[in-house]
Amino acid sequence: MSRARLALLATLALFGLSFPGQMAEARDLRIAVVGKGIGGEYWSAVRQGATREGRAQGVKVTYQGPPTETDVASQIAIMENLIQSGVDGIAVSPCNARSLNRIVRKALASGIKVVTLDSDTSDKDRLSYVGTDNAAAGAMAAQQALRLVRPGSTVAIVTGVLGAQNLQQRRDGFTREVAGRLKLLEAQPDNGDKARAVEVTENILTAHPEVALFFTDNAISGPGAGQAIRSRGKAGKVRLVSMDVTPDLKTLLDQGVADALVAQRPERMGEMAVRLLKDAIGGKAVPNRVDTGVEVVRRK
Amino acid sequence: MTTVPDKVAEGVGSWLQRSMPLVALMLLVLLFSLLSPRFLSIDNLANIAVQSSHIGLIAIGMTLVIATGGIDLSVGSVLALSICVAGLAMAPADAGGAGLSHVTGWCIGLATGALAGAVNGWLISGLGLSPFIATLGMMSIARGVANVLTDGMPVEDLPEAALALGSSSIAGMPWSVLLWAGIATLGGLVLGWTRLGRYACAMGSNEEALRLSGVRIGPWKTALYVLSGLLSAAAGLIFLGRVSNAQPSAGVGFELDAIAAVVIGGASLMGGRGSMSGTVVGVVLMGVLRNGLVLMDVSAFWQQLVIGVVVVVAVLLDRWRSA
Repeated sequence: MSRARLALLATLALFGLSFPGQMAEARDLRIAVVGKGIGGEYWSAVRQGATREGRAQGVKVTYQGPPTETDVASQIAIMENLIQSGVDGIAVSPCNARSLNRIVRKALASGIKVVTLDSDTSDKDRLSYVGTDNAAAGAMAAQQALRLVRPGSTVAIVTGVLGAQNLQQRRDGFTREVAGRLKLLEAQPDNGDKARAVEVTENILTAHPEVALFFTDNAISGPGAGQAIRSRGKAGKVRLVSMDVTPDLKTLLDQGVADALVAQRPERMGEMAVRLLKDAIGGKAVPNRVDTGVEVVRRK
Repeated sequence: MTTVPDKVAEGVGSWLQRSMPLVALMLLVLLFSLLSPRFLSIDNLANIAVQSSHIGLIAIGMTLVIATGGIDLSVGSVLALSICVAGLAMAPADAGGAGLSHVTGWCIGLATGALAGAVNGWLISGLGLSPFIATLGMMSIARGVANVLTDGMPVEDLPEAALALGSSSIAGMPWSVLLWAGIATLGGLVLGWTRLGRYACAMGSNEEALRLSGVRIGPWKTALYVLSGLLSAAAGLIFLGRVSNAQPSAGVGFELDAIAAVVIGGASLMGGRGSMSGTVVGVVLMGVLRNGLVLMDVSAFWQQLVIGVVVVVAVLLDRWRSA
């Protein structure tokens, strides 16, 4: 019993000792970056970009995020807690474009500057959106496709979730760019599941042996499609252009399965979001949207 | 031979043991209020209560199930299935729904949760599957059905009234918190004062003895899983109002939050013991931790670590208590 109480008190004392330092600091500007998740290379890059810019600007930046990318309720709770804590600015990447509308308005109403990052709310009533111009990214991928296959070839698209706005924009950008020059099959969703992406790709390869190139619009469909192409022995024959650069996509590129990757720039998103928030807090006008651009990675 | 002072000491000791979660919560509240001037504001406390309410409802059912020595891993998926079915019932026809009234939609959602719970109960007491396996199966089945019904997409355009339980208040009190408080009180009464509650604990401590005393265990146990499913669906109705649409991906990991709260509250995962007030304290404690750590600008990684430590400490306490 007393051992148990001691353990508990020790735990509490540990908190007490480790945190007061942060409260004692002078009133620095405080900015919170709320990602869709806390793990993974992508969000680490966002966090690093934001933290580095925070240091450069003399702003205290903390990174928050829900345990999984679908946990909207936790993300909303984090936003509520941040409003209570009286932060000066929030950069948030909504897990769901509609669910975050209300809480973003509430934050703005309580005097907090809010920008969205990587993806936007559906009502768009934040100060600014910092992220990839998805249509331009899709068009960039399309240009790679046009370079890789003969005019009139058949192209298949594997997508994540059909309703996701950013993916829709990428596909639209792609479709517009190749219109009249390549033949497109209807986009097939894998619902964010890599195993499903493998199946979908295998099914397409069986049903449409004439397919010359796959375009995958996200970092999960890409590796799934790549795996299916490789296991069917079609590497190098069926081309693959994917959005995003992840370790497994890089491997596929090195192995000659993927031909071009269109990379977003998450680190720059974190950096720009913090810079914009600092400006907005200082009373400067900020642009309604900031395109952080993409870069194309090809095999050397 | 025990003397009177010994008995007094024993009494105080056992009271402290029972109140351990509450003492821990109070210490935590004290700590956060010293560290952040904003912590103890009415706004913030209401904020914590609202954020905790859906897990609070799930944890009530989980307490009953854990008292039997069972577990319900399907709560998060059942929540998702219930709100998707309710959402499809309430959404206007042009958005792919049935356009029913919000009250009808809520009832359909609750019935869905109860039905999923009944299937769990049947798998466990009818077919003799272990609760872990049966509800693990349901976890996947309910999620799958939710995805199939909605094609993996959130059900949007729900009528404003459908969101009321998670987004509006009556006389300054949020509906979600009132519901939680009311149902937790009922749950406490069920656990402490009814045959269902007594049987639940008896199943957890010695199911064979209960059977030998002539009780038909099956229906009682099934009833407890039905309650767990029903409460997951009720939690879903609050959740719906919080996030404004019915997402098939909702509720992933909620089972772990609920189980942690129940264990922090002093229940034993081996069954036979559970406390509704303890569970409420456990839920609030996790809510206070999440809130307080954000208020103090502690980053997400450290929050995970701290919450994990608290759960482990709680389980250690549990083991020392029952040793």
